[in-house]
Amino acid sequence: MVRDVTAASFPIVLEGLTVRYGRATACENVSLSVVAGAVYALLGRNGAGKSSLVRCLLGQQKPLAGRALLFGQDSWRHRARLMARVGVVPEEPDAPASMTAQQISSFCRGLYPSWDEQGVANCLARFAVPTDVPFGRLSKGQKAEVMLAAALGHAPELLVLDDPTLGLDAVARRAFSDELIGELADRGTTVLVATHDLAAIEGIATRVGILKDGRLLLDEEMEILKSRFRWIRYGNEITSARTAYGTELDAFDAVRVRVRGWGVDAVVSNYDEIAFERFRQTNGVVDAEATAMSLEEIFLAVAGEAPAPEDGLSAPARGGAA
Amino acid sequence: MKGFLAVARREIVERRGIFLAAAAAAVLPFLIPLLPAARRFGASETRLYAAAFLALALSAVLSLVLGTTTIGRDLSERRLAFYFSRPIGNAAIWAGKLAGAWLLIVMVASIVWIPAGLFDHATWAREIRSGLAVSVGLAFGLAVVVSLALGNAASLALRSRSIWLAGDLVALAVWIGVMGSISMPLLSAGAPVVLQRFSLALVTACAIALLLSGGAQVSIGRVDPIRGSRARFAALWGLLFAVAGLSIVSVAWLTSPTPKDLVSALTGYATPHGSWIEVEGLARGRADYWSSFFYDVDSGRSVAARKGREGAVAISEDGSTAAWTQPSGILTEALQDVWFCRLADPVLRRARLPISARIGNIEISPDGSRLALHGGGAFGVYEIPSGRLIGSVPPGTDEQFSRVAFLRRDRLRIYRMPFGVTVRAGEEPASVEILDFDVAARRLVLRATIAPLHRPFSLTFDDRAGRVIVWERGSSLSLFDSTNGRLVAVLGNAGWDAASRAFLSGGRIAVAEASDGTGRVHLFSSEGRPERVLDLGTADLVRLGAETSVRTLALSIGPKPSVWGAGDSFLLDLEDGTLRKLGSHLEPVAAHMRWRLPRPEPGSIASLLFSRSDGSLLRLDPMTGKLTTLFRGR
Repeated sequence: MVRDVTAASFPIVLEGLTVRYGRATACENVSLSVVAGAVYALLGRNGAGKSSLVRCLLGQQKPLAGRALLFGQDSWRHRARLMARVGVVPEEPDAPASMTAQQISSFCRGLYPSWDEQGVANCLARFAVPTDVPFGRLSKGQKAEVMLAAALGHAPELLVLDDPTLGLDAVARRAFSDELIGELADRGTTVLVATHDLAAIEGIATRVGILKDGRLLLDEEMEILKSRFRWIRYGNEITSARTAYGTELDAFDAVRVRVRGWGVDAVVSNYDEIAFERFRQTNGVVDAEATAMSLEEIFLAVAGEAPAPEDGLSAPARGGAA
Repeated sequence: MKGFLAVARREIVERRGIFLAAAAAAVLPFLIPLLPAARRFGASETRLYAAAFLALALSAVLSLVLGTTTIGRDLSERRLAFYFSRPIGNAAIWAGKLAGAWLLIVMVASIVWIPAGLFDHATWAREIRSGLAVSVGLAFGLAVVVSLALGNAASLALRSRSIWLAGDLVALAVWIGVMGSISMPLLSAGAPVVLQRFSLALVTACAIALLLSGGAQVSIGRVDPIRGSRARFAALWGLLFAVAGLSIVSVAWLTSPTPKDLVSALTGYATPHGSWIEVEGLARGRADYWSSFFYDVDSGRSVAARKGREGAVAISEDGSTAAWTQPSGILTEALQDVWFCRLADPVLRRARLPISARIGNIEISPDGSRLALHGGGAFGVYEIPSGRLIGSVPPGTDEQFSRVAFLRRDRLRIYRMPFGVTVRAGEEPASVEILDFDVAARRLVLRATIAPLHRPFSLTFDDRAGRVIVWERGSSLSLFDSTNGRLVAVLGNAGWDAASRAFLSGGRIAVAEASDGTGRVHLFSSEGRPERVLDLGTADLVRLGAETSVRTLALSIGPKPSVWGAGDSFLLDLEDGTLRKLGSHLEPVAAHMRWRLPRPEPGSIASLLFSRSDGSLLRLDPMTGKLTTLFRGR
């Protein structure tokens, strides 16, 4: 009973997931859980391990260690049964090239008892995708739209999207996002989306995970994440040499600090209004200001490469990310 | 099941264009009879055979193409995830794709073949009723599965481009080597039925292994190519080497029957002294595999001898040594092996002979220390057990057939005569050359020539006493001195149907003949003088066995034409001429061993064996006159 409640509450649970390809590590001991109804944005640079994690989650690949649970069941062992409750939009649209959208819908109709053929047709009509053209001859955007329509056709409890808008133009990306938002508004489906399209996901995601070199650097509610990250700029009269900074940012857990000619420019991960007021009144801190950060800026600060010393920037500050 | 059907249906729909090609091909059989070259055949048969040929050709090409593209291409193009993202079982994805491909091929073959069949339905029905069509159909179905499986496994291996491909090549080479050595005894056994069954089982097992390895790649590896390749490799070679293991066990079982397994025991040879015989025949559960044993009728001990039908077998006169020959390989140029053993302590030894010709006959010297063999016109004497050549005669012509007998340890008698004594009208009379071979001097001396002889003729030998009986069918029955070729006596006239002759103990001669429906045994002195005639009563054919005791001769009386096992056996008292029936459908074994063992000692094991038409072998107790079964027949 406890397990059922947990399964219903957390459609996705990863426990110490590790994936390796020979000597290369794709995921290292990744653990996370996604609560029902959440939109989980899984971020990471190319090669960070997002797709490997998604394949493990979908039971398409067996992890070297750990396990992926969907609705409380091991996705490797119970893949076929679990897929009846999951909609998938892959990174590379993988439907057979000769199949038309109509045929894909017909194919799926035989597999899902709750298949809504009319709903799929309506969705494709909204996308203006021709239903009688072979999949191989559709544009990249149309392919992604067909895959999304096919993923939503059986009203899945969980939608897994692996970089679905990769390579799409702005119009196609917007259409895709709108459909996804509509789906979320209508049914409250749990979503896990691995993406590079941070701007699009920022308005949808409720929780964010950032992978870097196979490790989960961050796994947090979007609201909290955005509230604790700030961009702080100030003139530095504390140190005698203006090319350095001291300990004044320690309270904010600076993720990255740049010392410029006019002062200091820092990204902090533990922002607090009261502490910032105190910071502003610190002797030697001049014209301090804190700016809210977009998801993309946070991602760049967390997952981006450390700047090289010859760029005229300082090394990353003491403290660091969460 | 829904998933399996959906995938299979999808596979067929995806390649539905092939049906158009098949429909076009289906028209061709109707056009071929119009060709001038095809007019000399029946239009109906031409259509049917052309349709069958086209169907098979198309299927063969399709099987390979679909085998290599189904699953393999999806994996390499990363399209298999489309199916894995749906509620379809792993096995259903794999099986559905292959079943779809298989069905597609069968449908294509049907599209090509059925229209011609329906058009010529009478001929078609006749062909189907003949049973050949069913066999061809089954072979076709299996061939399609094998081609699909082979193409699929090869494609998965090649497309993986992983290190396992190198492993595949190594494993393949090892497996071929292992299977080659396992199959060698069957290939050289000359048992086509066993070989056919073994091959069919092997092909089926390999096809299953190939199919399951593809299944393992998809089920275990799913979209992970590295894990998939590893799973495919492990499954494929695990199964194929398991098949090899099973093959080792089954071939070992097939080629190692015991005398108890014989369902039809033929006695090839029996020793004049001692109790060893050579029995051979088909064994239970082993179809046409022919096995051979040296068997001690007193103790029941046995030594497995020649495997298969090829080769010759011999036991020394003193019963101490046995030998047989066998080709060392399956090729016609394979050298011959000769195997020796002392029957009291049967440790097998092998010597490879520098000849590849088929060996017609072998003989062992009375003391078991030398072996003489001849074949393909060559003749040689070898030391036992080293196999060292002691002396040989340069090869003669292949047209000559010889009988070889040791007179002593160092002297052999060779009878050289035309190969095949069956006459064809108008052929020239033949001759028999009698030669002696001095082993120490390596010298061949022509002792005598018996000529002219009208064919067909047959000979009965008494090597030690230097006598030979020649029966020219339709002409005379004569006794010759084999040391000089001199005619000693004319034993019978042209009217005799003297089917059987025997040299008896003490040098007397017995000749059985059955003229005008009455059988008689004529007894002669050692010089060929008539002594007495014993009447056998009504008889069409008489076969003389050997003396079961000094005054008792075994014989069989049977119908004509001669069928082994159709006669009834009797014991004839040579003194008072009384006949005592031993049994029906029973023949004295010595009657067909006379060429090899011309004059068994009275009461020797060779004289006491009888065989029934059901293949059973019995031994007579000369004291009680009772028969004991040594080997049961069918």
